[in-house]
Amino acid sequence: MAIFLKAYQGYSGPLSPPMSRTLVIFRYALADVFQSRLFVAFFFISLLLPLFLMCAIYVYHNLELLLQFDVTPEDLTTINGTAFTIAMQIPQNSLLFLMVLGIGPTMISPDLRNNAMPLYLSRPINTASYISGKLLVLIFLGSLISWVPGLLLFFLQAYLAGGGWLGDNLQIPVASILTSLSWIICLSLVAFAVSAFVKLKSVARMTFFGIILLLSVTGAVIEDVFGGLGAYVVNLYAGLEVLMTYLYNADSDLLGFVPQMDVGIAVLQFLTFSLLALLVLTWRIRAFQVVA
Amino acid sequence: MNRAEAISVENDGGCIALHDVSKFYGDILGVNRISLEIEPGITGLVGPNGSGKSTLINLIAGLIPTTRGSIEVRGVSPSQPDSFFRQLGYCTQYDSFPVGVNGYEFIRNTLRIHGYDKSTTETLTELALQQVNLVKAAKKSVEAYSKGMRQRIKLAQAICHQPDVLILDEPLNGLDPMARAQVIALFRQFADAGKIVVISSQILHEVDLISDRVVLLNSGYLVAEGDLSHIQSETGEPMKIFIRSRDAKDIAARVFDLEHIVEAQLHYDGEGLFIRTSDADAFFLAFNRKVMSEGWTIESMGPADETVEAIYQHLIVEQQVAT
Amino acid sequence: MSNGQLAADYARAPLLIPGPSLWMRQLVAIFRIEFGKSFFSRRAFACYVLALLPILIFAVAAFEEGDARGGPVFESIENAREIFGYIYSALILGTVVFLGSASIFTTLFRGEILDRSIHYYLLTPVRREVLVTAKYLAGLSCGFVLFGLCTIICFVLLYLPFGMGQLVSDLTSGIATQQLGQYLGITLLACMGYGSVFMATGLLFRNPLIPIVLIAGWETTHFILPPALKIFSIIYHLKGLLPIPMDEGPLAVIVAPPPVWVSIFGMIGLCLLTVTATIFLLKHLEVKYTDE
Repeated sequence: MAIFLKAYQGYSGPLSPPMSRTLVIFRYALADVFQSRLFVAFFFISLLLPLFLMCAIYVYHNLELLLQFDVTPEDLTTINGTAFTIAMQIPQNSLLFLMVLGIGPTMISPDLRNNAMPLYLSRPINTASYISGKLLVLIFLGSLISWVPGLLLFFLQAYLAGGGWLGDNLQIPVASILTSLSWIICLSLVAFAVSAFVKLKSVARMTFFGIILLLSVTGAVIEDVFGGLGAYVVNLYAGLEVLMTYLYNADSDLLGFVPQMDVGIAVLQFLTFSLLALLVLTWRIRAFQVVA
Repeated sequence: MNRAEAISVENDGGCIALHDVSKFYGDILGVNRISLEIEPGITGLVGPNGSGKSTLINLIAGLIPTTRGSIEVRGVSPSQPDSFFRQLGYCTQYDSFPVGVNGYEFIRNTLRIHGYDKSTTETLTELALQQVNLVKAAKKSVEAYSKGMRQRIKLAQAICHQPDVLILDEPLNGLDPMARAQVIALFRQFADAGKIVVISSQILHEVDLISDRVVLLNSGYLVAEGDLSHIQSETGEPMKIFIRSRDAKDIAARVFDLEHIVEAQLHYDGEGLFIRTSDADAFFLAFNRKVMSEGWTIESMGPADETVEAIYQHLIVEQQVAT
Repeated sequence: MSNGQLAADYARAPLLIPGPSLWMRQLVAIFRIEFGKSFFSRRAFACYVLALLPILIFAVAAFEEGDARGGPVFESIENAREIFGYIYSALILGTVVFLGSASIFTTLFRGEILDRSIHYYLLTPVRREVLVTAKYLAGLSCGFVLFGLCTIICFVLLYLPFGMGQLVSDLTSGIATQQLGQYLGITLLACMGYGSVFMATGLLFRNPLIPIVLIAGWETTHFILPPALKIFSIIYHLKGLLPIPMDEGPLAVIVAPPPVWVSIFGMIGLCLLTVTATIFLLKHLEVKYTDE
């Protein structure tokens, strides 16, 4: 009898539930992200905006303080969906883009470059749990800098405003969560799809940046030359603007130029981009490598 | 006059001369205060992982600048790349290649950049490929090469312009025994033609087999340099001598009558004997007299530890254990 | 005679004496290799896509009966030229040439460092000045051929709805040749300017995305910059050369365009300065490949 037959016994005990295996990928990927000092700095700078807005809301409701600056409550703008969109959501959208630009393309490309896919996928981990594990990192971090502080601000404002403010503005928390999650998930999946093609992190980042920039400019150019819906379909940010205005019930005149696109089409646009990216990912993430 | 200055005075421009060379990566030491002269012939560069071998080799090849000190290869400094790299060929440890080239293009492009005309480039490319026995696979993409083939094409690239100085970082990695023999013969051919060949390797018995001289590095410091017997005699350590004789048992019983004997060990076949002595010259003199007086028959006698492995064991491993 | 002796004889046969003749041969050799890499490698695919995008838009415009607003895409040839000027300025110059140059020129050195193959160049007996110049010229040629062709094809497509007669008439009257010449000149200067900057930043920054994003931000917002800062923007100098002046929107700080000679010599000066800086950086480059 060969020696290995005497010594080797396969594991026959219970396996951990699939979700916990996804969380293993999430945990390690999250730890990797925080190895970058640049990202840690960015993450804390991102939290400065909600901190500033928190102070602003406090001052807004502090009559004594306002009177010291000769400001009466009537001089101040009303805090509603539009104010939340302008002060919180729009800057957060840019921060989320920068976050995904920084870490999104670095999630998958190193695993592909180092031929780690066969190692991952030879364990009881499938493509879906691999992608989910990586995506969870971006959702988790993105949430921490977008809708989580957004909700805190909302409840602070509701507490200080009292009366019926909470009931009148219930769309704000829903809008904050949905807008942020749609933007994070769609951008992240596109970033993953790019990094699944480009094995070098830097090149993947550049390609992702190029694609988003190109789509926005192309959308704007098509709008100016041809007009119509076709202009917005390629521009992800246009879809986000439409979705955000609708969900926050914001005043589009105050927001500036908002594309004349149906909300349904904006949702469809996000779904199409995400699905296309997922298709690319499932095609590229395989348990074997192709040698030239 | 310190050692570095002495080397500088002695250097006639025909060797690789390092004058008090140090390299620091921030706070991390690469190599420190190395003064060295590497003559034509094959020189083995030996040391444990992280000893500074690759740093030293990259410094000599001009891929990294020195923090202090200077380097000249046959009188030319790396700051003059147009003449420096004409005489130097370097086979690096990096297992990477320009994207999308095949073996032939890889060598041809190098020669074209050197400035050779088309026909000379083609001839030299073919000759280099023949020298490393890679003619058949020349038109295959380098990305599809095996580890051994990649090693050989890198070697071909290093020798294609027939340099006077050949620097090789772990050149035998991934080669099968036949290819090893061919490549070693090629190094010997270069050395016999009066060229300088520097080989860094972890495989000590191969360094032993190939090298005329060795340079030992440890923790970024130069530990020893020179030919093996010279280093062995300078270490002052007990020397191991093997004596083959039918009277081995008798010799073993009485050899401690002589001075300077540290240890005697009988060979398993009973017809040989290992002796360790603290003074080899005195031992040989006294032992000759003893052989004459006792009438022992000696078939052969010689040092058993003039190997890189023995010197490495003594100068590096034992020192590390001691500290 | 052994192979070794034969090779040694061949290697010494043509005496390679350093001097202009050898440098020129080396320059041509490196140029050919790099031009091939920039034009035909997998990484060039992104540039082809970039160059095809405006062509696609003009092709659609040429064959489209009318736009989404109900009117024709081009109302007259004058209107068509204005639209071309706008698309050239926003899409071709501001996005396609910018991103294309970033891709081509950053790859020249940073790409090889990431591929761990830069040492093969550095181990050849080539003056660093020759190496940088050859690589820069190869990138410039590739960029100009691709984006110059893109400009020419777009310009020809512009005339398609008006018939070949209009094109011939404009060519003979000199309007078309003059405008096309100006657009091609701007494309060349843009490739020169952006290219030299991206080649230098490719050597200077380990993460080339950082300078690309910063420069993109600077160039995109140049119109709101005060005059003292505008002069440090490449696009400000290039837009001053456009045959049809562009309206930069209500927020723009209106400044007279720089004189043509300032723009041209400024771009050549920038190019010389950054190429010299690249030579300096390359001479002090330490080949130490680390993980990205």
